Amino acid sequence: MLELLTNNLPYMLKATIATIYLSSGSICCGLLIATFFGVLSVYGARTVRVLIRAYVYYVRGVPELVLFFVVFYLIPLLGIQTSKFVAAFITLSVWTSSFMTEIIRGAILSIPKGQTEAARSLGFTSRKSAQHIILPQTVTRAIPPLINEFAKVIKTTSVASIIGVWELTYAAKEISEITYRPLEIYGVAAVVYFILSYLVFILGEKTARRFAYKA
Amino acid sequence: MIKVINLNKSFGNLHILKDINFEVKPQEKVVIIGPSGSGKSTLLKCLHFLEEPDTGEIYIDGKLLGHKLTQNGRKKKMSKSEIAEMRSKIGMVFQSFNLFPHKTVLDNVTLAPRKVLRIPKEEANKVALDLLKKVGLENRAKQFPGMLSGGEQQRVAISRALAMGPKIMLFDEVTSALDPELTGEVLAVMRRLAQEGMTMVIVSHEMDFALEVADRMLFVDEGRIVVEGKPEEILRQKKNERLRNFLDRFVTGKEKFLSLVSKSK
Repeated sequence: MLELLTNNLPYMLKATIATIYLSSGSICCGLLIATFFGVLSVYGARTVRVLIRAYVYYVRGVPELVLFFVVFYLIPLLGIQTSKFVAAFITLSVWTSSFMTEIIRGAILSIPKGQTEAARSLGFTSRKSAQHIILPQTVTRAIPPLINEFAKVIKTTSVASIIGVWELTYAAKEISEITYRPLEIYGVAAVVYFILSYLVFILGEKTARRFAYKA
Repeated sequence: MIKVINLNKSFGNLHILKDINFEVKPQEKVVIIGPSGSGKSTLLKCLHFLEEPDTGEIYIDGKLLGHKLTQNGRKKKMSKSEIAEMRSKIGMVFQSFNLFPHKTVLDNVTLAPRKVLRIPKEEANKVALDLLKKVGLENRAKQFPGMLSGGEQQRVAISRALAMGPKIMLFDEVTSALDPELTGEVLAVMRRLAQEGMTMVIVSHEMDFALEVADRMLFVDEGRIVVEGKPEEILRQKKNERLRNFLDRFVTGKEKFLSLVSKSK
């Protein structure tokens, strides 16, 4: 058993690096999109708000596995040549941004109405009150559920293996087919995913504490 | 200073304010009383254009609130920044304080002057500390609202509204959320403000305070101004039945207790 591990762990750890790249890229991109869409879904013009709602509903309604296939086969149809990795990155970014948009939207709407009333009564325009009063408070509220989404992204990178992206799950599949020891190999993969998620949760708690209001 | 003409406001099917007409002269203190749901808060919010009236006009310091008159004499809706500017001339203090929890006490008071009036930081801080000193809270400047008691938070809220240099101050049941021991400190601040000559419109249940401070009182019920007059007339009212019923509920606990005790004797 030990020999199995020492032979294959380096390979799996290399694949983990690919997983980390894919995850962090998708998280950053998704977060950027979601911040933009989240704010617009509350403060934007009516058409914009409707479009964003539709986007969020549809993307959330499709299983990730199917989404990977759809994006994978759609991209060449649009005339774009790109790698499987980039296709996976796009899929994950779109997928996570739909959930993150909802989280940010919910955080904004959860700010008590009195805050907006107070801001407006002091002469703040809608934009300035959003900038100085509402959105800063949104950050604190949005962090815990967003951290959760980050962990989900890390775990969902494993689904990208279905379109042939070389990451941890794909590498685990390769090795278990050669060694005929799937339980041990996938077990190790599970541990690695767990460690990655755990690190995210710890980081999340620290960040949340930093942003908490003193009371 | 304030002139309200034919104000009507509905929320969906609920007709909250019906044909409201009244005036407030400069430096006058008007206290509005009435049962819950009678539209008092909505009335204050309309004065601030936090709610837009369905019909009617509100004039603040001679200027029509929310609309401009074009050359033809037609009404054109004011831009959002113009409305915001008009709002900054009127200060409002809320029942639930509504301080900004993510900012220190000092920042709460200086935020609007700095960001709306673009007053530089040092000057804004100076003004803010003066105001906080007047309400006795200058040594709490660096603390956050969550660390303050209700009465202290409300005093900060008053300072915050005053920092914009308003000509009129609106108070929406500002002591209703406070423990009785804490209302005194807030009322003291309001009393001093009144003595300094501020025009004030106060919605309150503090009848003693109203007797002391008000020049005029309005009794609002079901969206209409039912009775209007000097505090003594209103509070000793015998004629209007609704007003009498309303006031009877305000026999204070101590008086009730004493009357119960004397009855049992």
